[in-house]
Amino acid sequence: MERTKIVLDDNELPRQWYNLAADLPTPLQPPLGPDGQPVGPEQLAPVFPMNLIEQEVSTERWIDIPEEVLSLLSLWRPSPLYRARRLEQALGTPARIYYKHEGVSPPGSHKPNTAVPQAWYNKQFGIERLTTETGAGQWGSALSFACSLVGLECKVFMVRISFDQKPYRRLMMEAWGGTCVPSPSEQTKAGQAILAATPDTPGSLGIAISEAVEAAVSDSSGKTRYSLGSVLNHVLLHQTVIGLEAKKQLEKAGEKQVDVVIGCAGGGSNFAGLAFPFICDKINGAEIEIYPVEPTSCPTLTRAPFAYDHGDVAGMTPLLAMHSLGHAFVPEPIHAGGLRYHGMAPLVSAAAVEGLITPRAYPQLKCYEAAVKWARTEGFISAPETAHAIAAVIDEAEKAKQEGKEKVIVFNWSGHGLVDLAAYDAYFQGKLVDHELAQEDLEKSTAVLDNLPKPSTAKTGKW
Amino acid sequence: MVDEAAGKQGIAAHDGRQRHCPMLGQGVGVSYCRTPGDPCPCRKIFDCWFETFDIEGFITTHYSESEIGQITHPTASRLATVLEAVARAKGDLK
Repeated sequence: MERTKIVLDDNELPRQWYNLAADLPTPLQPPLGPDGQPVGPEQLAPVFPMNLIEQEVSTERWIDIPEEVLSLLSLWRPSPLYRARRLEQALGTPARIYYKHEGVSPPGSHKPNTAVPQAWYNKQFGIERLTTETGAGQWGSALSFACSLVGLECKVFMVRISFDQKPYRRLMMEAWGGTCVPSPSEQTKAGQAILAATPDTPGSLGIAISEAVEAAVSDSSGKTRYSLGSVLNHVLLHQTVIGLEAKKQLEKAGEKQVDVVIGCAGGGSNFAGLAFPFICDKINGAEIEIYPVEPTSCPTLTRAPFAYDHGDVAGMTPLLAMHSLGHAFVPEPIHAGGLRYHGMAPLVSAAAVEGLITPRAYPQLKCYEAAVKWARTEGFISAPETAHAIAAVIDEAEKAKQEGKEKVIVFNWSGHGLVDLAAYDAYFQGKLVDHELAQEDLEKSTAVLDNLPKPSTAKTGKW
Repeated sequence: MVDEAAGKQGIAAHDGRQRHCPMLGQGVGVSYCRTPGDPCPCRKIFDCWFETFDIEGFITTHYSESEIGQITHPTASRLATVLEAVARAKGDLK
Protein backbone atom coordinates (compact mmCIF):
# COMPACT_ATOMS: atom_id res chain seq x y z
CA MET A 1 0.00 0.00 0.00
CA GLU A 2 1.29 3.45 -0.89
CA ARG A 3 2.00 5.75 1.98
CA THR A 4 -0.52 8.57 2.47
CA LYS A 5 0.45 10.03 5.84
CA ILE A 6 3.90 10.87 7.12
CA VAL A 7 3.82 11.17 10.88
CA LEU A 8 6.42 12.18 13.43
CA ASP A 9 6.81 10.90 16.95
CA ASP A 10 6.01 13.28 19.79
CA ASN A 11 9.69 13.61 20.56
CA GLU A 12 10.29 14.87 17.03
CA LEU A 13 8.36 18.05 17.66
CA PRO A 14 10.59 21.03 16.81
CA ARG A 15 12.38 22.31 19.92
CA GLN A 16 12.70 25.86 18.63
CA TRP A 17 10.65 28.34 16.65
CA TYR A 18 12.22 29.91 13.61
CA ASN A 19 12.36 33.71 13.49
CA LEU A 20 12.54 35.03 9.94
CA ALA A 21 13.40 38.50 11.24
CA ALA A 22 16.91 37.22 11.92
CA ASP A 23 17.52 36.26 8.31
CA LEU A 24 15.78 38.92 6.29
CA PRO A 25 18.46 40.42 4.07
CA THR A 26 17.10 43.86 4.91
CA PRO A 27 16.07 44.45 8.55
CA LEU A 28 12.39 44.60 9.42
CA GLN A 29 11.25 48.18 9.76
CA PRO A 30 9.44 49.09 12.94
CA PRO A 31 5.88 50.40 13.06
CA LEU A 32 5.82 54.17 13.51
CA GLY A 33 3.51 56.23 15.67
CA PRO A 34 1.62 59.30 14.48
CA ASP A 35 4.65 61.36 15.47
CA GLY A 36 6.79 59.36 13.10
CA GLN A 37 8.63 57.61 15.94
CA PRO A 38 8.75 53.82 16.28
CA VAL A 39 6.10 52.18 18.43
CA GLY A 40 7.95 50.93 21.48
CA PRO A 41 7.45 48.07 23.91
CA GLU A 42 5.94 50.47 26.44
CA GLN A 43 2.99 51.05 24.13
CA LEU A 44 2.40 47.32 23.86
CA ALA A 45 2.88 46.59 27.57
CA PRO A 46 -0.68 47.41 28.66
CA VAL A 47 -2.01 44.61 26.48
CA PHE A 48 0.81 42.07 26.09
CA PRO A 49 3.16 40.51 28.67
CA MET A 50 6.79 41.48 28.40
CA ASN A 51 7.99 37.97 27.52
CA LEU A 52 5.81 38.05 24.38
CA ILE A 53 6.85 41.62 23.61
CA GLU A 54 10.45 40.41 23.73
CA GLN A 55 9.57 37.81 21.13
CA GLU A 56 7.76 40.45 19.13
CA VAL A 57 10.92 42.52 18.75
CA SER A 58 13.46 39.69 18.81
CA THR A 59 15.94 39.20 16.00
CA GLU A 60 17.26 35.89 17.37
CA ARG A 61 17.07 33.22 14.66
CA TRP A 62 15.93 30.40 16.91
CA ILE A 63 13.82 30.77 20.01
CA ASP A 64 13.52 27.80 22.34
CA ILE A 65 10.09 26.30 22.83
CA PRO A 66 9.67 25.68 26.56
CA GLU A 67 9.26 22.03 27.56
CA GLU A 68 5.84 22.67 29.02
CA VAL A 69 4.68 24.24 25.78
CA LEU A 70 6.02 21.27 23.84
CA SER A 71 4.08 18.98 26.11
CA LEU A 72 0.88 20.94 25.49
CA LEU A 73 1.42 21.12 21.73
CA SER A 74 1.93 17.36 21.67
CA LEU A 75 -1.79 16.92 22.30
CA TRP A 76 -2.22 17.23 18.53
CA ARG A 77 1.26 17.87 17.19
CA PRO A 78 3.21 16.89 15.23
CA SER A 79 0.39 17.21 12.72
CA PRO A 80 0.44 14.69 9.88
CA LEU A 81 1.82 15.51 6.47
CA TYR A 82 -0.44 13.98 3.84
CA ARG A 83 0.35 13.01 0.29
CA ALA A 84 -2.64 14.09 -1.81
CA ARG A 85 -2.51 11.03 -4.03
CA ARG A 86 -6.15 11.07 -5.07
CA LEU A 87 -5.94 14.70 -6.18
CA GLU A 88 -2.75 13.92 -8.07
CA GLN A 89 -4.52 11.08 -9.84
CA ALA A 90 -7.54 13.21 -10.64
CA LEU A 91 -5.31 15.86 -12.18
CA GLY A 92 -3.05 13.38 -13.91
CA THR A 93 -0.09 15.36 -12.74
CA PRO A 94 3.46 14.11 -12.28
CA ALA A 95 3.74 16.50 -9.32
CA ARG A 96 3.82 15.09 -5.81
CA ILE A 97 1.47 17.12 -3.65
CA TYR A 98 1.84 17.22 0.13
CA TYR A 99 -0.21 19.08 2.69
CA LYS A 100 0.11 19.77 6.39
CA HIS A 101 -3.17 18.86 8.05
CA GLU A 102 -3.71 21.59 10.62
CA GLY A 103 -7.33 20.60 11.08
CA VAL A 104 -6.32 17.95 13.62
CA SER A 105 -6.08 20.39 16.53
CA PRO A 106 -8.99 20.28 18.98
CA PRO A 107 -10.50 23.53 17.66
CA GLY A 108 -9.86 22.40 14.08
CA SER A 109 -7.36 24.93 12.75
CA HIS A 110 -3.77 26.17 13.02
CA LYS A 111 -4.74 28.86 15.53
CA PRO A 112 -3.89 26.90 18.71
CA ASN A 113 -0.25 26.83 17.59
CA THR A 114 0.00 30.39 18.89
CA ALA A 115 -2.89 30.38 21.36
CA VAL A 116 -1.15 27.78 23.52
CA PRO A 117 2.25 29.50 23.81
CA GLN A 118 0.57 32.87 24.28
CA ALA A 119 -1.47 31.49 27.16
CA TRP A 120 1.61 29.83 28.65
CA TYR A 121 3.79 32.94 28.46
CA ASN A 122 1.06 35.03 30.02
CA LYS A 123 0.80 32.51 32.84
CA GLN A 124 4.55 32.67 33.37
CA PHE A 125 4.33 36.45 33.54
CA GLY A 126 1.85 36.18 36.38
CA ILE A 127 -1.22 36.92 34.32
CA GLU A 128 -4.42 35.29 35.52
CA ARG A 129 -6.82 35.97 32.69
CA LEU A 130 -6.82 36.74 29.00
CA THR A 131 -9.32 38.65 26.95
CA THR A 132 -9.89 38.59 23.25
CA GLU A 133 -12.51 39.20 20.61
CA THR A 134 -14.00 36.81 18.13
CA GLY A 135 -16.50 36.76 15.32
CA ALA A 136 -17.95 33.35 14.74
CA GLY A 137 -15.49 31.96 17.24
CA GLN A 138 -12.46 30.57 15.41
CA TRP A 139 -9.90 32.47 17.45
CA GLY A 140 -12.01 32.61 20.61
CA SER A 141 -12.34 28.85 20.70
CA ALA A 142 -8.61 28.39 20.13
CA LEU A 143 -7.74 30.73 22.98
CA SER A 144 -10.31 29.20 25.32
CA PHE A 145 -8.81 25.81 24.60
CA ALA A 146 -5.32 27.14 25.28
CA CYS A 147 -6.31 28.82 28.53
CA SER A 148 -7.91 25.63 29.75
CA LEU A 149 -4.61 23.86 29.25
CA VAL A 150 -2.55 26.29 31.30
CA GLY A 151 -5.11 27.28 33.91
CA LEU A 152 -5.96 30.82 32.89
CA GLU A 153 -9.34 32.44 32.87
CA CYS A 154 -10.43 33.39 29.40
CA LYS A 155 -12.99 35.98 28.50
CA VAL A 156 -14.05 36.19 24.88
CA PHE A 157 -16.11 39.09 23.59
CA MET A 158 -18.10 37.52 20.79
CA VAL A 159 -19.93 39.69 18.31
CA ARG A 160 -23.56 39.51 19.35
CA ILE A 161 -24.97 38.32 16.06
CA SER A 162 -22.54 35.39 16.15
CA PHE A 163 -23.28 34.75 19.81
CA ASP A 164 -26.98 34.54 19.01
CA GLN A 165 -26.82 32.67 15.73
CA LYS A 166 -23.73 30.48 15.90
CA PRO A 167 -23.77 28.48 19.12
CA TYR A 168 -21.27 25.80 18.17
CA ARG A 169 -17.99 27.60 18.72
CA ARG A 170 -19.49 29.46 21.67
CA LEU A 171 -20.28 26.11 23.18
CA MET A 172 -16.76 24.94 22.39
CA MET A 173 -15.43 27.92 24.33
CA GLU A 174 -17.67 27.11 27.26
CA ALA A 175 -16.73 23.45 27.12
CA TRP A 176 -13.11 24.56 27.56
CA GLY A 177 -14.07 26.80 30.46
CA GLY A 178 -13.97 30.12 28.68
CA THR A 179 -16.44 32.88 29.40
CA CYS A 180 -18.12 33.99 26.24
CA VAL A 181 -19.76 37.40 26.43
CA PRO A 182 -21.99 38.82 23.71
CA SER A 183 -20.57 42.11 22.50
CA PRO A 184 -21.48 44.86 23.05
CA SER A 185 -21.85 44.08 26.73
CA GLU A 186 -22.54 45.96 29.95
CA GLN A 187 -19.12 44.90 31.21
CA THR A 188 -17.16 47.72 29.58
CA LYS A 189 -17.63 51.43 29.08
CA ALA A 190 -17.29 50.95 25.35
CA GLY A 191 -20.05 48.37 25.37
CA GLN A 192 -22.28 50.39 27.67
CA ALA A 193 -22.04 53.41 25.40
CA ILE A 194 -23.01 51.40 22.36
CA LEU A 195 -25.90 49.70 24.15
CA ALA A 196 -27.20 53.00 25.46
CA ALA A 197 -27.33 54.39 21.95
CA THR A 198 -28.48 51.26 20.14
CA PRO A 199 -29.76 48.54 22.45
CA ASP A 200 -30.55 46.19 19.58
CA THR A 201 -27.20 46.42 17.84
CA PRO A 202 -25.87 43.12 16.49
CA GLY A 203 -22.34 44.22 17.40
CA SER A 204 -19.22 44.29 15.28
CA LEU A 205 -15.66 43.07 15.42
CA GLY A 206 -14.46 46.62 16.06
CA ILE A 207 -16.67 46.95 19.13
CA ALA A 208 -15.55 43.55 20.38
CA ILE A 209 -11.88 44.55 20.04
CA SER A 210 -12.56 47.73 22.02
CA GLU A 211 -14.25 45.74 24.77
CA ALA A 212 -11.56 43.08 24.97
CA VAL A 213 -8.79 45.66 25.12
CA GLU A 214 -10.64 47.76 27.69
CA ALA A 215 -11.28 44.71 29.84
CA ALA A 216 -7.54 44.02 29.88
CA VAL A 217 -6.32 47.58 30.33
CA SER A 218 -8.85 48.55 33.00
CA ASP A 219 -8.12 45.64 35.33
CA SER A 220 -6.51 47.47 38.24
CA SER A 221 -4.91 44.28 39.50
CA GLY A 222 -2.72 44.19 36.41
CA LYS A 223 -3.45 40.49 36.05
CA THR A 224 -5.28 40.68 32.75
CA ARG A 225 -3.86 40.89 29.26
CA TYR A 226 -5.21 40.80 25.73
CA SER A 227 -4.40 38.21 23.10
CA LEU A 228 -4.27 38.50 19.32
CA GLY A 229 -4.25 35.60 16.88
CA SER A 230 -2.78 37.06 13.70
CA VAL A 231 -0.50 39.69 12.13
CA LEU A 232 2.03 40.18 14.95
CA ASN A 233 5.57 38.82 14.72
CA HIS A 234 5.31 36.53 17.74
CA VAL A 235 2.12 35.01 16.35
CA LEU A 236 3.90 34.17 13.11
CA LEU A 237 6.88 32.87 15.07
CA HIS A 238 4.76 30.37 16.98
CA GLN A 239 3.24 29.08 13.77
CA THR A 240 6.61 28.05 12.33
CA VAL A 241 6.27 24.63 13.95
CA ILE A 242 4.17 23.82 10.88
CA GLY A 243 6.98 24.34 8.39
CA LEU A 244 9.66 22.90 10.64
CA GLU A 245 7.68 19.69 11.03
CA ALA A 246 6.94 19.58 7.32
CA LYS A 247 10.64 19.67 6.48
CA LYS A 248 11.30 16.67 8.70
CA GLN A 249 8.36 14.81 7.23
CA LEU A 250 9.37 15.50 3.65
CA GLU A 251 12.78 14.13 4.46
CA LYS A 252 11.12 10.97 5.82
CA ALA A 253 9.11 10.76 2.62
CA GLY A 254 12.34 10.70 0.71
CA GLU A 255 11.97 14.13 -0.82
CA LYS A 256 15.30 15.84 -1.25
CA GLN A 257 14.00 19.05 -2.72
CA VAL A 258 10.81 21.09 -2.45
CA ASP A 259 9.89 23.06 -5.55
CA VAL A 260 6.75 24.93 -4.51
CA VAL A 261 5.37 26.09 -1.13
CA ILE A 262 1.87 27.53 -0.93
CA GLY A 263 -0.33 29.04 1.79
CA CYS A 264 -3.33 31.32 1.92
CA ALA A 265 -2.52 34.84 3.08
CA GLY A 266 -5.06 36.54 5.30
CA GLY A 267 -3.56 37.91 8.49
CA GLY A 268 -0.44 36.05 7.38
CA SER A 269 -0.02 33.56 10.19
CA ASN A 270 -0.94 30.31 8.47
CA PHE A 271 1.09 31.16 5.38
CA ALA A 272 4.03 32.20 7.53
CA GLY A 273 3.80 29.06 9.63
CA LEU A 274 4.52 26.81 6.70
CA ALA A 275 6.57 29.13 4.53
CA PHE A 276 9.06 30.87 6.81
CA PRO A 277 11.29 27.82 7.38
CA PHE A 278 11.38 27.30 3.60
CA ILE A 279 12.18 30.99 3.09
CA CYS A 280 15.16 30.34 5.34
CA ASP A 281 16.27 27.62 2.90
CA LYS A 282 15.72 29.97 -0.02
CA ILE A 283 17.82 32.66 1.62
CA ASN A 284 20.53 30.03 1.94
CA GLY A 285 20.45 29.03 -1.69
CA ALA A 286 17.55 26.62 -2.21
CA GLU A 287 15.50 27.08 -5.35
CA ILE A 288 11.93 27.19 -4.10
CA GLU A 289 8.92 29.08 -5.37
CA ILE A 290 6.87 30.33 -2.44
CA TYR A 291 3.37 31.60 -3.07
CA PRO A 292 1.10 33.41 -0.60
CA VAL A 293 -2.38 33.37 -2.09
CA GLU A 294 -4.98 36.09 -1.57
CA PRO A 295 -8.36 36.97 -3.07
CA THR A 296 -8.27 38.79 -6.41
CA SER A 297 -10.66 41.39 -5.06
CA CYS A 298 -8.28 42.22 -2.21
CA PRO A 299 -4.88 42.43 -3.86
CA THR A 300 -2.88 43.56 -0.85
CA LEU A 301 0.33 41.78 -1.74
CA THR A 302 -0.10 41.30 -5.45
CA ARG A 303 -0.79 44.86 -6.53
CA ALA A 304 -0.55 47.31 -3.65
CA PRO A 305 2.66 49.27 -3.10
CA PHE A 306 4.85 48.92 -0.02
CA ALA A 307 4.60 52.03 2.09
CA TYR A 308 4.03 53.46 5.50
CA ASP A 309 0.33 53.93 6.00
CA HIS A 310 -2.06 54.83 8.75
CA GLY A 311 -4.88 52.51 9.59
CA ASP A 312 -7.37 55.36 9.59
CA VAL A 313 -8.20 58.38 7.55
CA ALA A 314 -7.69 60.79 10.42
CA GLY A 315 -4.12 59.63 10.78
CA MET A 316 -4.53 58.91 14.49
CA THR A 317 -3.32 55.33 14.34
CA PRO A 318 0.35 54.36 14.12
CA LEU A 319 2.13 54.20 10.81
CA LEU A 320 3.01 50.70 9.74
CA ALA A 321 5.26 49.67 6.92
CA MET A 322 3.09 47.42 4.81
CA HIS A 323 1.59 46.66 1.49
CA SER A 324 -1.36 48.98 1.48
CA LEU A 325 -4.18 50.00 -0.77
CA GLY A 326 -4.15 53.39 0.86
CA HIS A 327 -5.75 54.60 4.04
CA ALA A 328 -8.22 56.90 2.33
CA PHE A 329 -9.15 54.63 -0.49
CA VAL A 330 -12.46 55.60 -1.98
CA PRO A 331 -12.83 53.45 -5.06
CA GLU A 332 -14.41 54.71 -8.23
CA PRO A 333 -16.92 53.33 -8.64
CA ILE A 334 -17.20 52.83 -4.93
CA HIS A 335 -18.06 49.18 -5.29
CA ALA A 336 -14.79 48.43 -7.05
CA GLY A 337 -13.21 46.72 -4.08
CA GLY A 338 -10.25 47.67 -1.97
CA LEU A 339 -12.24 48.40 1.14
CA ARG A 340 -11.17 45.14 2.62
CA TYR A 341 -8.50 44.67 5.22
CA HIS A 342 -5.60 46.49 3.69
CA GLY A 343 -2.71 45.50 5.88
CA MET A 344 -0.49 42.46 5.86
CA ALA A 345 1.82 41.09 8.54
CA PRO A 346 5.01 43.19 8.30
CA LEU A 347 7.26 40.11 8.07
CA VAL A 348 5.26 38.79 5.13
CA SER A 349 5.33 42.19 3.44
CA ALA A 350 9.10 42.40 3.92
CA ALA A 351 9.61 38.96 2.38
CA ALA A 352 7.52 40.04 -0.60
CA VAL A 353 9.53 43.23 -1.06
CA GLU A 354 12.73 41.21 -1.06
CA GLY A 355 11.32 38.87 -3.68
CA LEU A 356 11.54 35.84 -1.45
CA ILE A 357 7.86 35.12 -1.94
CA THR A 358 5.70 35.63 -5.01
CA PRO A 359 2.16 36.67 -4.11
CA ARG A 360 -0.73 35.38 -6.18
CA ALA A 361 -4.39 36.30 -6.27
CA TYR A 362 -7.32 34.06 -7.12
CA PRO A 363 -10.99 34.83 -7.75
CA GLN A 364 -13.46 33.30 -5.35
CA LEU A 365 -15.23 31.06 -7.84
CA LYS A 366 -12.01 29.34 -8.74
CA CYS A 367 -11.28 28.83 -5.04
CA TYR A 368 -14.62 27.19 -4.32
CA GLU A 369 -14.29 25.08 -7.44
CA ALA A 370 -10.92 23.92 -6.12
CA ALA A 371 -12.30 23.27 -2.65
CA VAL A 372 -15.07 21.09 -4.06
CA LYS A 373 -12.58 19.16 -6.19
CA TRP A 374 -10.53 18.71 -3.05
CA ALA A 375 -13.51 17.44 -1.07
CA ARG A 376 -14.35 14.97 -3.82
CA THR A 377 -10.81 13.61 -4.03
CA GLU A 378 -9.12 14.03 -0.65
CA GLY A 379 -12.36 14.04 1.32
CA PHE A 380 -11.78 16.92 3.70
CA ILE A 381 -14.03 19.98 3.67
CA SER A 382 -11.77 23.02 3.60
CA ALA A 383 -12.21 26.33 5.37
CA PRO A 384 -13.00 29.07 2.82
CA GLU A 385 -9.58 30.66 3.35
CA THR A 386 -7.81 27.36 2.77
CA ALA A 387 -9.56 27.05 -0.58
CA HIS A 388 -7.32 29.81 -1.96
CA ALA A 389 -4.25 27.68 -1.35
CA ILE A 390 -5.88 24.65 -2.98
CA ALA A 391 -6.64 26.66 -6.13
CA ALA A 392 -2.98 27.59 -6.43
CA VAL A 393 -1.90 24.01 -5.77
CA ILE A 394 -4.08 22.75 -8.61
CA ASP A 395 -2.66 25.38 -10.95
CA GLU A 396 0.88 24.40 -10.06
CA ALA A 397 0.12 20.71 -10.46
CA GLU A 398 -1.35 21.32 -13.90
CA LYS A 399 1.64 23.44 -14.82
CA ALA A 400 3.91 20.57 -13.81
CA LYS A 401 1.83 18.29 -16.03
CA GLN A 402 2.25 20.61 -18.99
CA GLU A 403 5.97 20.84 -18.36
CA GLY A 404 6.30 17.14 -17.67
CA LYS A 405 8.12 17.84 -14.40
CA GLU A 406 7.91 15.83 -11.18
CA LYS A 407 7.65 18.85 -8.93
CA VAL A 408 7.20 18.60 -5.18
CA ILE A 409 4.41 20.89 -4.01
CA VAL A 410 3.72 21.51 -0.31
CA PHE A 411 0.88 23.54 1.11
CA ASN A 412 -0.81 24.30 4.39
CA TRP A 413 -4.29 22.87 4.79
CA SER A 414 -4.98 25.30 7.57
CA GLY A 415 -8.33 24.10 8.82
CA HIS A 416 -11.62 22.42 8.14
CA GLY A 417 -14.73 24.21 7.00
CA LEU A 418 -17.31 22.17 8.84
CA VAL A 419 -18.73 25.21 10.57
CA ASP A 420 -18.33 27.41 7.49
CA LEU A 421 -20.72 25.58 5.22
CA ALA A 422 -22.86 28.63 4.50
CA ALA A 423 -20.10 29.80 2.18
CA TYR A 424 -20.34 26.56 0.25
CA ASP A 425 -24.10 26.96 0.14
CA ALA A 426 -23.71 30.36 -1.52
CA TYR A 427 -21.37 28.82 -4.08
CA PHE A 428 -23.63 25.88 -4.82
CA GLN A 429 -26.59 28.19 -5.26
CA GLY A 430 -24.70 30.32 -7.77
CA LYS A 431 -24.79 33.41 -5.60
CA LEU A 432 -21.10 34.20 -6.02
CA VAL A 433 -19.54 36.11 -8.89
CA ASP A 434 -15.99 37.29 -9.41
CA HIS A 435 -14.51 40.74 -9.38
CA GLU A 436 -11.07 42.22 -9.86
CA LEU A 437 -9.86 45.67 -8.79
CA ALA A 438 -9.20 47.88 -11.81
CA GLN A 439 -5.71 49.35 -12.19
CA GLU A 440 -7.18 52.85 -12.47
CA ASP A 441 -8.93 52.46 -9.10
CA LEU A 442 -5.78 51.09 -7.55
CA GLU A 443 -3.73 54.07 -8.70
CA LYS A 444 -6.28 56.48 -7.26
CA SER A 445 -6.33 54.71 -3.94
CA THR A 446 -2.60 54.67 -3.48
CA ALA A 447 -2.08 58.34 -4.35
CA VAL A 448 -2.86 59.16 -0.71
CA LEU A 449 0.40 57.49 0.30
CA ASP A 450 2.47 60.13 -1.48
CA ASN A 451 2.72 62.45 1.52
CA LEU A 452 3.60 59.79 4.11
CA PRO A 453 7.10 58.65 5.09
CA LYS A 454 8.53 56.14 2.67
CA PRO A 455 9.88 52.85 4.03
CA SER A 456 13.03 51.54 2.52
CA THR A 457 12.34 49.17 -0.33
CA ALA A 458 16.01 48.39 -0.73
CA LYS A 459 16.62 44.77 -1.53
CA THR A 460 19.61 42.66 -2.32
CA GLY A 461 18.30 41.76 -5.76
CA LYS A 462 19.15 38.10 -5.21
CA TRP A 463 15.56 36.90 -5.63
CA MET B 1 -28.04 54.28 -10.55
CA VAL B 2 -30.48 53.80 -7.72
CA ASP B 3 -31.69 50.25 -7.23
CA GLU B 4 -35.40 50.21 -8.01
CA ALA B 5 -36.19 47.57 -5.41
CA ALA B 6 -34.36 49.52 -2.76
CA GLY B 7 -36.17 52.69 -3.69
CA LYS B 8 -39.56 51.03 -3.59
CA GLN B 9 -39.17 48.92 -0.51
CA GLY B 10 -36.93 51.06 1.65
CA ILE B 11 -33.84 50.30 3.58
CA ALA B 12 -34.93 46.77 4.47
CA ALA B 13 -35.45 45.78 0.84
CA HIS B 14 -32.41 43.52 0.69
CA ASP B 15 -32.33 42.30 4.27
CA GLY B 16 -33.12 38.74 3.28
CA ARG B 17 -30.03 38.30 1.12
CA GLN B 18 -27.44 36.08 2.77
CA ARG B 19 -23.70 35.59 2.32
CA HIS B 20 -20.60 34.52 4.20
CA CYS B 21 -19.12 37.36 6.25
CA PRO B 22 -15.31 37.39 5.97
CA MET B 23 -15.05 39.35 9.21
CA LEU B 24 -17.19 37.13 11.39
CA GLY B 25 -16.67 33.84 9.60
CA GLN B 26 -20.35 33.06 9.27
CA GLY B 27 -23.34 33.72 7.10
CA VAL B 28 -25.13 37.05 7.57
CA GLY B 29 -27.88 38.99 5.85
CA VAL B 30 -27.79 42.53 4.51
CA SER B 31 -29.76 43.38 7.63
CA TYR B 32 -26.53 42.87 9.57
CA CYS B 33 -24.24 44.51 7.06
CA ARG B 34 -26.11 47.80 7.26
CA THR B 35 -26.00 48.04 11.05
CA PRO B 36 -22.66 47.29 12.75
CA GLY B 37 -21.20 50.76 12.29
CA ASP B 38 -24.45 52.25 13.49
CA PRO B 39 -25.70 54.45 12.00
CA CYS B 40 -23.34 53.43 9.23
CA PRO B 41 -23.11 50.04 7.52
CA CYS B 42 -20.10 47.77 7.73
CA ARG B 43 -17.11 49.14 5.89
CA LYS B 44 -16.96 46.05 3.73
CA ILE B 45 -20.53 46.30 2.53
CA PHE B 46 -19.54 47.34 -0.99
CA ASP B 47 -17.00 44.54 -1.36
CA CYS B 48 -19.35 41.92 -0.11
CA TRP B 49 -22.48 42.83 -2.01
CA PHE B 50 -21.60 44.59 -5.25
CA GLU B 51 -21.58 41.25 -7.02
CA THR B 52 -25.10 40.45 -5.89
CA PHE B 53 -27.14 43.63 -6.24
CA ASP B 54 -26.74 47.36 -6.80
CA ILE B 55 -25.19 48.13 -3.45
CA GLU B 56 -23.90 51.49 -4.66
CA GLY B 57 -27.40 52.59 -5.53
CA PHE B 58 -28.70 51.21 -2.26
CA ILE B 59 -26.13 53.11 -0.20
CA THR B 60 -26.48 56.39 -2.05
CA THR B 61 -30.26 56.14 -1.66
CA HIS B 62 -30.24 55.57 2.07
CA TYR B 63 -27.13 57.25 3.46
CA SER B 64 -25.78 60.77 3.51
CA GLU B 65 -22.54 61.83 1.88
CA SER B 66 -20.79 62.04 5.24
CA GLU B 67 -22.02 58.58 6.21
CA ILE B 68 -20.78 57.20 2.91
CA GLY B 69 -17.46 58.87 3.64
CA GLN B 70 -17.27 56.93 6.90
CA ILE B 71 -18.15 53.68 5.19
CA THR B 72 -15.43 54.05 2.62
CA HIS B 73 -12.69 54.54 5.17
CA PRO B 74 -10.57 51.39 4.99
CA THR B 75 -10.35 49.14 8.02
CA ALA B 76 -7.40 49.92 10.25
CA SER B 77 -4.69 47.32 10.66
CA ARG B 78 -5.28 45.09 13.64
CA LEU B 79 -2.34 46.40 15.66
CA ALA B 80 -3.38 49.98 14.98
CA THR B 81 -6.91 49.15 16.08
CA VAL B 82 -5.64 47.59 19.29
CA LEU B 83 -3.35 50.50 20.16
CA GLU B 84 -6.17 52.92 19.48
CA ALA B 85 -8.41 50.88 21.80
CA VAL B 86 -5.70 50.99 24.47
CA ALA B 87 -5.52 54.75 24.22
CA ARG B 88 -9.29 55.00 24.38
CA ALA B 89 -9.51 52.72 27.39
CA LYS B 90 -6.87 54.74 29.20
CA GLY B 91 -8.78 57.92 28.43
CA ASP B 92 -6.22 59.30 26.02
CA LEU B 93 -8.79 59.33 23.25
CA LYS B 94 -12.47 59.99 23.36
